[in-house]
Amino acid sequence: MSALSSFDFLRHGARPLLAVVMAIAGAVLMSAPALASDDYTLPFYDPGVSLNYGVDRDPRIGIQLDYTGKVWYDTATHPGRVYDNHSGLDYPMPVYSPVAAAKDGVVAETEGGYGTRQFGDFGNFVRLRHSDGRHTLYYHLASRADGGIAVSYNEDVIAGEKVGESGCSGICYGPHLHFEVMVDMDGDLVTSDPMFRRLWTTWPGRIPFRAAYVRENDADTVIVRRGYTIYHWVEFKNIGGRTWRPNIWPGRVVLGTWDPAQHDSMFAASDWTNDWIATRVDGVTAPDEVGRFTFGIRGAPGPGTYREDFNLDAQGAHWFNWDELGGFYVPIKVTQQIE
Amino acid sequence: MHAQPMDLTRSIARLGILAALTSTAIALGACLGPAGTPTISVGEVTTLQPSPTSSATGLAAPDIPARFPVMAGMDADEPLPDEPGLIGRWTTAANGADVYTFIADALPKVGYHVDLLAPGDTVAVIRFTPPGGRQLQIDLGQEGSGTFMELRLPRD
Repeated sequence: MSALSSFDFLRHGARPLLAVVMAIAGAVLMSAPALASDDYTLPFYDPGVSLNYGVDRDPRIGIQLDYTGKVWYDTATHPGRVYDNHSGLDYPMPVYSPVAAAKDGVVAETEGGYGTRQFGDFGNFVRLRHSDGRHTLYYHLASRADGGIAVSYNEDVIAGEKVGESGCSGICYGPHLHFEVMVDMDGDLVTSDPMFRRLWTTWPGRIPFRAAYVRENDADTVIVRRGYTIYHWVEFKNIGGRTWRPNIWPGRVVLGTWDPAQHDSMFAASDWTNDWIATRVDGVTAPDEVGRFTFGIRGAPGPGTYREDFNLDAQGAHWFNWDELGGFYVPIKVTQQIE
Repeated sequence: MHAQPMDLTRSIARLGILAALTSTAIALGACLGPAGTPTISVGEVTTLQPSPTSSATGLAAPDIPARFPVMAGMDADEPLPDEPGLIGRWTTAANGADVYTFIADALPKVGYHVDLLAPGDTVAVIRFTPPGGRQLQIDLGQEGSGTFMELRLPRD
C-alpha cells in the first residue's frame, strides 16, 4: 500500500508522524457521515464476540476520545472502550476464527507471508475497497499457508463472505482481529471511526448472517399423500446485518437441506432449485424484516413418518447458525395414495 | 500504548494523598520490592510468594497474591513507581504475544479465575480473581523492544 495511512503506522510503529495523520483523521472523523444501519456488517460470525478497544478519536498523546464521546485524560488502557492512539477496532477471537467482509467490495491488497503467530513487522492482512470510497482492513490474520487469506487480489467479495482467518501476526498482544475502516482522501487512507455517534458496543453493524424463526403455515406434522405435493412456507426474521436477496450470487439466501448439509431430499418437489435447495427467499429482506420461504413438499417415499431438517445458506458465503433458527425442521407424514 | 496514568481529573486529589502515604511508608520502612520475593514453581509456571506491596502509595493496594505467575526472565521494577493501585511491575525482553499467552495460560493453572481477556495491538488487559481475593488487573504494553507487565487494582 503506497498511501500514507494509519495502517502504515500500526505496522511500522512509526509513532512520530502519527499526530499529523491523526490530525487529518480527526477532521474526517468529525465530518464523516453516519453509516446506514445495514451499511457495514461485523467482520466475523460469532455473536459472542464483543469489542475490546475502539478508535481513539483524539490525535493527542494522553487524551483519548472514545466512541461514546467520553474523554480520558490519560494513556491508560480502557477495556471495552479505547487505548491511546488506537486506529481501529480490536475484537478478541481465537486463532483461526473466520473473518468476514464487512461490506461488498473488491480485494485491494493482501499479505499472507508472515507466520500465524509471528510477532512484529507487518503481519498478515486483507484490505478491501468499497464503492463508498472507504476501505476496510482485517489485520493480524493467520498465514496464507495456514488458510489465513481466503481471497485474492482484485476479487469481488460480498458482505459477510469469509475473507480469511484470524491469527496473531504482526504487532499483536494476544489473538484478536484488528478491524479498521479508512477513508480515501485524495489517495491517502485515513482512519475513520464507524462506531462514533452510534454508541453501539459492537458497531459497525451486526453479525452478517443471522436469522430467528418467526412462524410457518403449519407448525405441526405436514401430511401429504404419496405422489402429491403440498406447499409450505416458513418465515424467519433477519436479525443479521446483511440484506437477504433471492437472486444475486454469491450471497443469495436459500433454504437448503441440513444435517447433513446439502443432502438430496426425498421430498424435493418440482419447484425446488435442485435436490437440496428447497427455495430462495421470496423477496428482498432487509435487516429487521421478515423473509418468507415457500416450497413444495412431495410425498415421494412410501407411507411413513419422517422429518426433513433445513437451514438457511447465503450461497458462496456462509451457512446460518441452525440452532439460532430454532433447529428448524418439518415433520412429514406420507399417507397412502387415495385411489 | 501504555504509560504512567495521567488522569488530570484525579491528579490534584492524588498529590496530597501521595505525600501523606509516601512519608508514612518511609516511616514504616515498608518498601519491599517484588524482586526480593522468592519464586516458586507450579507445574511449568514460575510464581511469586505473597509479599507486601512495594509502592509508597500502596497502602490502598493489596499484596501480590500467592502463586502469582511471573514469566522466567522477567525483571521486577525496583523501586516500584509511585502510582495508586500499582502492586507490581516487571519487564522482559519477550514479546507481547508470548507474555500474553504465558499469563493467559498460567492464571488458571495456579487456580485463579480469569474474568477478562482483552488483547490488543500494543496492549493487553487481563483481569482475574485469586481464590478468596479481590479482582486484580494485569496490564501489558511495549517497553523498548520488550514488554512490561503491571499488576494493579482494576481501573476503568
